Amino acid sequence: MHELAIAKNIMDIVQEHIPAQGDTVTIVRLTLGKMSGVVPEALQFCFENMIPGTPLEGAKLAIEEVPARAFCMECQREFEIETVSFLCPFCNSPSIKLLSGREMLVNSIEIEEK
Amino acid sequence: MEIKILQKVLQANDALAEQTRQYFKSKGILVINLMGSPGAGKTTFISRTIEALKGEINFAVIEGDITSTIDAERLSRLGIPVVQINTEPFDGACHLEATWIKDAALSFDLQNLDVIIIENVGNLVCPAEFDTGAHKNVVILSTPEGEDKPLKYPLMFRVSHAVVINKIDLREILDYNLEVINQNLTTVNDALERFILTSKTGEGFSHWIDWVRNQLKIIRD
Repeated sequence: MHELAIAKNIMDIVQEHIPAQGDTVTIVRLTLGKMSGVVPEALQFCFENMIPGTPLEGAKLAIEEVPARAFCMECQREFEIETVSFLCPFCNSPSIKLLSGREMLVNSIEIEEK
Repeated sequence: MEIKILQKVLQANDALAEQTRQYFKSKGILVINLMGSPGAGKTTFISRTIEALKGEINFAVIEGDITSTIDAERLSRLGIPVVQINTEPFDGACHLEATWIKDAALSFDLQNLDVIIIENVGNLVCPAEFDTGAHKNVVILSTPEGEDKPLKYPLMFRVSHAVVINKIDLREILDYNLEVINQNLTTVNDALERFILTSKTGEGFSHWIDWVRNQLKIIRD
């Protein structure tokens, strides 16, 4: 359950960006890579339980998932990693470069001004 | 009103981890983060490593557990400095974060130290997510856990530099298939340095010990 620590980090980042006291946050937009190791449902659960009594009370956590994509250094082709295999599906080479999938980013927030 | 943020969720942790890594490199101290399931044999493996390099390399250990000081007590019998981190006050976290590691590591007398080993909380999921500031991540797997773990916990094997297959003395009893585990490791991360050994007898340790010596040399070059 490292989602608890992750939810706390998200809250800290959001609170630093609230423009004025009394403003409330209605939406937190998060980008989450498929390979980030975070279970979205667990993160939602932790987030919802943390926000009451804060300027984020009632805010929605909108998670945008990003697929894991890689580039093969051998055959120079790009592909999506859909299983747990990190071998190139075209030439079976293990020398691949991960292009996306590990993102864990607070993208933007929606504020309701006081 | 929309406010763009575009900030990594773990940016604070990652930045501190990078600072820690640079700091210990400047001191010529190698930091190894050892991860693995509960019961994989982390503590015994650390003991065996320290004993094998006694008189040559000075170690200190940071022990991570949710609760208890059992492992720290075991290791302090070796006469080395040990700091226990209990994550119970931090929501019982199942991983170690860079800030706790930094504080623990700075509590050692760094003058006479060569290597710090972090024994992370027993878990193949959460510790993979948090950069501790170590120079090398090592994951230890024991034969009773089976050959499929790299496929079930790919992130752990992606963030690691080396893998230790422990308790190889049980290979026959368990019908453990080295070909399958090797294939699974290749599928997930072909670049992993691999060590096959048992902490019980020390069989297979020399290759690992050479690796530790070599990593320390690299840090100091």
